[in-house]
Amino acid sequence: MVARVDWRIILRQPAGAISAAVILVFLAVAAFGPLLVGGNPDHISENILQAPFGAFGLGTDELGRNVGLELFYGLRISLLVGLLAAASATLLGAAVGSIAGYFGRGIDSLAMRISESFQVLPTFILAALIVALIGAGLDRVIAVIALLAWPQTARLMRAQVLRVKQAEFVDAARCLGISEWAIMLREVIPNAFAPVLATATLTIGDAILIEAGLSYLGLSDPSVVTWGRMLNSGQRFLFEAWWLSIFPGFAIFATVLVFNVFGDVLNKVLNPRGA
Amino acid sequence: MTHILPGDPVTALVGQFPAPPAYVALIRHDYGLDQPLYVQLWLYLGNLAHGNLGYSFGSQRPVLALILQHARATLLLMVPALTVASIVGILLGGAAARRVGSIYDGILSAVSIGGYSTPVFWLAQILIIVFAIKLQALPAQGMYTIGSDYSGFAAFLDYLQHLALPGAALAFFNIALVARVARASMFEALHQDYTLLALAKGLRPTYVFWRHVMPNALIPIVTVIGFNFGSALTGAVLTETVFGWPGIGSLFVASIEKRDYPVLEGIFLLTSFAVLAVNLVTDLTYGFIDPRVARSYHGRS
Repeated sequence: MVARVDWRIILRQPAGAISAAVILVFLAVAAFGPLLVGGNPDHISENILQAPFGAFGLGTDELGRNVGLELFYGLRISLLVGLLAAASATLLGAAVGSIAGYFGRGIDSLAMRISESFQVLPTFILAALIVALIGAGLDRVIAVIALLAWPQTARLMRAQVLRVKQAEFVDAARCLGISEWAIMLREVIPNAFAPVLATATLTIGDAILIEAGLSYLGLSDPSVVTWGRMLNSGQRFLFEAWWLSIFPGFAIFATVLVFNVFGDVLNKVLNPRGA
Repeated sequence: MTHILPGDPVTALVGQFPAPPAYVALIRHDYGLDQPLYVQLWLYLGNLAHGNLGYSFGSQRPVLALILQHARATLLLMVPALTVASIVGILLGGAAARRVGSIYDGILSAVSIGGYSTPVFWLAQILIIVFAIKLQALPAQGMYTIGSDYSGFAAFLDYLQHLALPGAALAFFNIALVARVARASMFEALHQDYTLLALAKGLRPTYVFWRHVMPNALIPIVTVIGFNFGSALTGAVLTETVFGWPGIGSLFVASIEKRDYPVLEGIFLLTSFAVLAVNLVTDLTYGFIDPRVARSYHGRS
């Protein structure tokens, strides 16, 4: 996008290169995996609660559905929710933060008060409450997560814009008679955006975790396979079928982990002041 | 605001079988659900101003009493878990700050990123599978042994046994968080001039660490612990669900299933209030930890 980032520095670090590669593999598997593997994750059979590593791959659940296949389709949902929610939250947060930081005064304090009040709310409880109220469609879950995740980005973007707008090239642009909006969009934001990329990557991990938590509580579209819902139904079979919990949970953990590791590397490179 | 949704609380109350329309209407009237929405909202806000959060649709009991009754169990889970997590996190982070770049430091960083990538309810299920099912060492459900009549110390031991697994699950995430911040802030304090001076005076490094580094590093750590009370609460809600711990989280999940709006709204309001209160206390704590903060405040007023 608009940010100026030297990707070579990031990919030269082992953690950065490995996590970037794993993310690409996950994206490819989510996009093409189901096409190659085939099969219907909702297909029920009489082979119920079969242990893993035998004839049934990663085992089967209480309805005889193939756990491995369900995991495949769950990856799509997790990535879809994570990427869309984080992208929306980042766009919203960056827009609010840029305008607040660039134009200041009333808009600034209003935006910051709103984002502060969002930050002290118990986010997950509010998300669960809203989803319980409006229903658990995928689009709504994404919207709710985005709505609750933007303030952090907004505050970071605001701080960045405040810093950049004092640079000499901004004064130069102003002397050339360029309009304030054009300066903000073309001069300030591209130079302020880089650290926001790190936060956006970390937000993907957060969003995947929140979605998993919501579906674990039963707040997900019943017609869609999600890892959280697999853990929810696996809970009843902890005694008989450990694989119904271990595999979906590990899938969530691994996916969130690669985004957090990549975000952490980005953070170190793009935002040297932040610990 | 809780009425724009699919799923009707009256259906949940009456049940899925066909009920006489007159009975449904009677229930609707008793709960005030036949009033226009703005009347319902006005009544709710008016009652709220008097500290009345309304009555549970499900159990007919006052929401406030219901929540406070469950709050005890949640606190009995959160306070020990967060205390242990804070102490362990500070010690681990401090140890890493003194050996930056060592293998120990690398392992701690990796474990702490792993710590907050782990869904707490999955960790909870793993703990149940390993310690309660395979090893049969610890109880997996509830807060007390059902049907027991322990009292005094025996009851306390029973509580500790039940606390072990949910407490560990909840503490893990917070240890990761605290250790990370503790490492960063102590690393900074270790490289300040006053630390160099203290070492140059010939003071023992351990003494310098506890007397000079720790107090200066404590403010960011306390901030993170306090401001993350909200996410700790989230962890508690999910952990309680896995372990059947009879706290606010279990009440919340049960109320979601029953569409018990007054209870859901009450939980949201009270937990928001709790998070605000903890943030305020965190701010006030600065004055105790760092006399400079207290002095600058008096200077202004």
